[in-house]
Amino acid sequence: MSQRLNQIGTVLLIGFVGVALSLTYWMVWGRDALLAQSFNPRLVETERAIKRGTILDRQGEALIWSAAEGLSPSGMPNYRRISAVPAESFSALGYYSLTYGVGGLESVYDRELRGENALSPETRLLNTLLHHPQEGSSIRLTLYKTLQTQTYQAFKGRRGAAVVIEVPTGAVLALVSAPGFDAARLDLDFDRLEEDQNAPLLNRALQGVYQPGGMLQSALIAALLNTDPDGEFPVEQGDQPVKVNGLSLTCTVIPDQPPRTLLEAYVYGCPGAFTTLPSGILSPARLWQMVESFHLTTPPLIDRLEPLTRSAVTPWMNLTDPAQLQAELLGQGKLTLTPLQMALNTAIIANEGNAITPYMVSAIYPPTVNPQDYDGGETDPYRTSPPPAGEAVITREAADRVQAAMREGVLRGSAEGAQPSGSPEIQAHGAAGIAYTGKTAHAWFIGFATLPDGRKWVVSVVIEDSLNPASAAALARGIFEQAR
Amino acid sequence: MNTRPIALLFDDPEQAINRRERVLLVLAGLFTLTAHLTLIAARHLEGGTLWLWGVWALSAAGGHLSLSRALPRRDPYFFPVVMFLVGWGLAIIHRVAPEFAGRQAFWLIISLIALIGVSRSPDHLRWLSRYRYVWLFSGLILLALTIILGRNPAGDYGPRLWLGVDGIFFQPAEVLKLLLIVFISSYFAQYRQMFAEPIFGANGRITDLLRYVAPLALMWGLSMVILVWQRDLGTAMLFFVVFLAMLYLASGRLLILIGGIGLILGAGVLAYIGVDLVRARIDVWLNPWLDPRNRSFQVVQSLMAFASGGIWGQGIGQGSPTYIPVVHSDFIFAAVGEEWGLLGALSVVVLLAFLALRGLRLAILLQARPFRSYLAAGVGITLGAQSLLIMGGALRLIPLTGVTLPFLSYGGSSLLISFLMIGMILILSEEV
Repeated sequence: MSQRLNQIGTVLLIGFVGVALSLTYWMVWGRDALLAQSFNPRLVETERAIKRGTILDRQGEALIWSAAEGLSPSGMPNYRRISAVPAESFSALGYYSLTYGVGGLESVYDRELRGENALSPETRLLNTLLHHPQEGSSIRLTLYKTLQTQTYQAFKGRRGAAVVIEVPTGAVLALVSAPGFDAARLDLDFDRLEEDQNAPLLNRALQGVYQPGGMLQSALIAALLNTDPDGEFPVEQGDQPVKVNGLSLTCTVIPDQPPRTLLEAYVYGCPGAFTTLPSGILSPARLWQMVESFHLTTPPLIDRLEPLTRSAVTPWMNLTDPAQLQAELLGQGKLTLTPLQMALNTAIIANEGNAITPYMVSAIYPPTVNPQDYDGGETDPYRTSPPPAGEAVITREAADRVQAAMREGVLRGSAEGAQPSGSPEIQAHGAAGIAYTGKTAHAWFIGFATLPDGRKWVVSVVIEDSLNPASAAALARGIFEQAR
Repeated sequence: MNTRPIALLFDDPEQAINRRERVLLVLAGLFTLTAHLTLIAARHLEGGTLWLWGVWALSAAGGHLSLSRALPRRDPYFFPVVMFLVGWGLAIIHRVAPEFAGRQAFWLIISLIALIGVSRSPDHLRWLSRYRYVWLFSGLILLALTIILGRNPAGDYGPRLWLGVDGIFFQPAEVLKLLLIVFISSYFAQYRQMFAEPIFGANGRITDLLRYVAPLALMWGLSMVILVWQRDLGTAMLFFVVFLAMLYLASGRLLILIGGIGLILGAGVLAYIGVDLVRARIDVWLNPWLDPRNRSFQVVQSLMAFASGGIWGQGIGQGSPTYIPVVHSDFIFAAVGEEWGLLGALSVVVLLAFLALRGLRLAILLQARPFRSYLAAGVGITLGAQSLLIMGGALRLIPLTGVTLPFLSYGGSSLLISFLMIGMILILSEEV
């Protein structure tokens, strides 16, 4: 019998050794592959236990932050991303979702917001072993919270976008896309948002592409003046309508007298005067060169945000159909621009002919410090280096003359109504107009305001489905009034 | 001043046994106290929850003192190893299902009283052998009652494996497990000579075959009743495996073993076709990755818990074992794996293997007293097989069968019966 007992014991022992080997497999060799599976709830739990850093406005007010929301089933803290009210006004800053990933600033500053930049590899390992809670760095933006929310609310349910940039620093003061969405509810609302015909998920300020219409004339005028700073560029019958793609384009504001020069035509937003440019004054190749030097064909970058990928536009000198070239010159061709591009385009004029480099992040605070103890100013030790100044695109003289024309545009031309009432110290400059896109049209305003301290606020506004440029100018006036 | 040589202090084997058991219990106490304190710190619990450890410590001390008087020459390893596992299990239950920790502590007290009661039985185990048919029929009546009146404490949807009054439930299958071990041991001990003869008898009569076939068929039938009526795959499997091992032990016939395994496989095929629970378990076992969020959730999360533990574990209170449904019962081994790592899980394997194999060793030492030898073997095989069934299920080595991991899992009936089995083992070890 002892032999049989030994046999049974051996079988049991083999069973226990089998269990030990299986344990070793799952806990050592097969471990990483298994834990990486999407159905591992620990991944979500670990992610939600991270207290992501706060995103602050330039004055230290919280725009987006992580709020504790109970505990996970295994007792770990559970953080949720919250936006300041109204949350929809901050959707252009990006989103953080367990289901749909991260986007916008939340994505490009993900490492910082998770706190992974602030820790050495040894500290990270130690924190993992000891299950220390992970806390992220906070980032201070160049945005003004009030300007952001009030600009968003000024759209009053209309679709569109607005970008406000400070010159000469390049600091982005507002980045609005309307309609927006509450990033904290993205997981719940995604299907509805995706089906919404107003496309709230589209970040119109950075990714919305629009035909520039008459706004392209700012660059064309600048190109001309760059060639001949003292030139008058007389035109005949500059207020005559012009037909393009079956549309009849007229002046944005009907002048008392027909404009005699191209600059006057620009002030009133009269497109007809610009159709004679190629043959009369500049070759299509020179014009295209100016389009490229204004970076109108290469989408810009803010901080590390990925630029929009767009299909290439045929250079104008390669166009064989004169009607097609005319459509391009009138901003009704294949060239499309984002509101950010329009703002940067305008900034060249506002910045005496020099390009600017936009940025939004001004300081990054490690989790060990309280951002409220710092002001983000030049003495702030956690301030990030501002981007280098941009290159000269046009001469100062050329820029000055376009600026003067834009000022006229606000006083008596296409952008009338953009001047803040009761604030003569703030001088608004601008142009407004309509661009047609198939069955609909959108209203543009581009311009800037000079402030008493010498800074300038450059603004671009687009309102979709609108035939009223004055509404875009009025929205810009609201922005300029915030500069008081 | 005591002038005796130091060596003489340890001459008394009974003192040496007590001292060894005491030292091991102190080590177990330090381990479990550390576990409870760490849990309190990690989960920010009230210090008052240490009363659970207090119950454990009093049980360990009370058990040790009582056993020292009742069974002074007992095996000194069984009780400390069992208390170590129980203390560990109590800490884990407190961590993963705190609402059950108090009840488990209550059942620990009851189980310890039962163990002490058995160890103080004046006639020791003779009465067990004498009334074997009483035990068998009691067990069968309990089974019948469970089929008719069975309930599930968690609700009406789960298997009805419990009998209960006023919120206190127990699982008759656990009692039946013990009664069957006793009955089989007694039966085989009495008829061991008969089992030693050729299968067809000296005269080659077919009726001689019945002495093998009849109990085998009876046990198979009993297991199938449990499986089909009660849908209790774990108990059915455990009963039959234990019985088959005991029959092989008594007969030494490889043919019996092969036939029995054939019956298990046949029953498996039949159950796969006819019992949805079995079909689901086997499907999940074959490919848990097909539906990891629903049907295979429990097994997949168990594997995730082991993987999450790694070599060193997440630390008590710092893993996420509660994602596994009923982790405090059938899957407590996965909780050990996640929070104590490979080292902790291997420790559990080694200790349970130690209990099972030491039971078999006892059976070898008691060969001159067949009933006692079979009883020790039966307990050892049961503890070993039950451990392997649930550990193998949690690791997807075999299809999942819902049995408890001895001494660690939550479950009053299981703890009580396991303690009674250890009580019997301690008595048997005293008689070596």
